[in-house]
Amino acid sequence: MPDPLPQDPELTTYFEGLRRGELLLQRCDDCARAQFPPRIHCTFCGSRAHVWEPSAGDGTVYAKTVNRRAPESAFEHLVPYVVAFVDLDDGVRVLARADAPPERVQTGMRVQVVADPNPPVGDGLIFRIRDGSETQ
Amino acid sequence: MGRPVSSIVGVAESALGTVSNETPLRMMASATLDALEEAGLKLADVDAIFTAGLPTWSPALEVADYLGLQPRHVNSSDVGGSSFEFHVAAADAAIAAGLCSVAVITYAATPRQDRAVPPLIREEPPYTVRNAFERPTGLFGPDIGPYALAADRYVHEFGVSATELAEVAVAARKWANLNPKAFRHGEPLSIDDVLNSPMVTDPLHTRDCCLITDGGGAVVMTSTDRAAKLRKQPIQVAGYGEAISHGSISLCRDLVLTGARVSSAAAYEMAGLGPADMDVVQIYDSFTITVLLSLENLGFCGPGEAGAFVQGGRIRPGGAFPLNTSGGGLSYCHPGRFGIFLLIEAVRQLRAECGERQVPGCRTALAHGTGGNFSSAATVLLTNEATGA
Ligand SMILES: [Zn+2]
Repeated sequence: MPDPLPQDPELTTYFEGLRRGELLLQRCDDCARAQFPPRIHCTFCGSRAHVWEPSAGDGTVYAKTVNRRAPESAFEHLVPYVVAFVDLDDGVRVLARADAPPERVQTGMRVQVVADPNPPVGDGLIFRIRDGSETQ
Repeated sequence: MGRPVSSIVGVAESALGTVSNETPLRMMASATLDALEEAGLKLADVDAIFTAGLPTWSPALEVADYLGLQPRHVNSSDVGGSSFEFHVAAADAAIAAGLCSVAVITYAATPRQDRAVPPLIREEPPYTVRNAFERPTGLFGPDIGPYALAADRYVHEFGVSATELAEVAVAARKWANLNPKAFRHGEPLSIDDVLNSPMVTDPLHTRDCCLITDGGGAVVMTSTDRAAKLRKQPIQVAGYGEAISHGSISLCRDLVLTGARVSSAAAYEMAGLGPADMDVVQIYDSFTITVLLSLENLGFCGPGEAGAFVQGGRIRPGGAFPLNTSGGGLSYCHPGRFGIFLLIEAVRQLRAECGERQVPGCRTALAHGTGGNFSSAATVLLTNEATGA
């Protein structure tokens, strides 16, 4: 049984999307900018009008760290693993865990972020390394 | 902004290190009584309490109850480890506005007494950014993962080495070995010791991380006019500045441009001073990376230059840039919110009370607090000279 979703219009839309395998982003109907995490209003212009857009998940690793220890027992089987900020081409930054061994993940590389099909806790994001994006 | 109106007239620590059979409330009261005694003030003179971090619905009211006071003014604003630098700013403004006359800023915590391991997950509702968006990735919390991300970005942009980061921890230990109250007093530490300590979250090793100790402290402030009539040499607040860049690390826009850039610019402007005027510098050292990024954003060196800046013994005892002369959170004490100890050490250096670790000829000091995950920043400039009207 997955954890109950937060009772909140924007959070529920986002997390229901993840459970369907979709990464949904809010884009402002007035200023056209994307934002993350989702909220009632646009943090750039204050508008309450937005549309939900599925993201292709393409982005660049902004910063990473290798977890040598698990913060909670649900992650122990994954250690060591990378957690990284990924700057999506859509214009937002998201935090995601690497679906790749630490030695293959480099800051600045191109990756694809997707919904985690087997989240150890809650509902989250993972990323995969794009073919041809690894430097030797 | 006008010039500050207040001075620090008393400082004290509580018991530090591994403290048994003493609650944080008793430790705060003990430090407060000692700091008041130093100033020649009585408990009844206190009409404002500033505190943060006590896990209760209103920390300032809990402290007021324990002290037996009904203060005119209280402030429990909590922005993490830098809260007490924010409190100096708020206390100065409150004294200027006539809201209070004698302000006590105090803090104590006993994470070591309570349990050996700090919580890795904050107890918060499921809708916070940390719980809803960060926890499912397995980011190591609550602090080390975010600071490791900043360190990784810094390495990526500027190529700083693990050895350069380690120098911050080694220099702190050298100072701690001159401070009998330091938790690691008498224990040597080499660059290799840091580099060979276990990696927790790359690129931060165990010895890149601050201590976990018990401890507390108190700082007493009053108007500079009143301070002149008290027992101790008053230490004037010359300037201060505050900045909030984000709460959760997910909302941080640039991991290497910190709030220190904004807070220090405001503090320098208020004081009419600049980085070159500082004789001694106390920077929150939650992790070695915190110090390097703060040095740059406080204006002591340019972006990407801090790794080289700290080399050659510059920040060690006897060096040209005395930094974290108590031994810092890395080697002296760290009960969770270290900011109050930055103020205490800066004041003692300006009073020339630091014995073996005294920096000669100190007239101006900088104390810079960083709270949360590089979330909150406050810079306080102090001087032992009359700054003029
Ligand atoms: Zn907008």
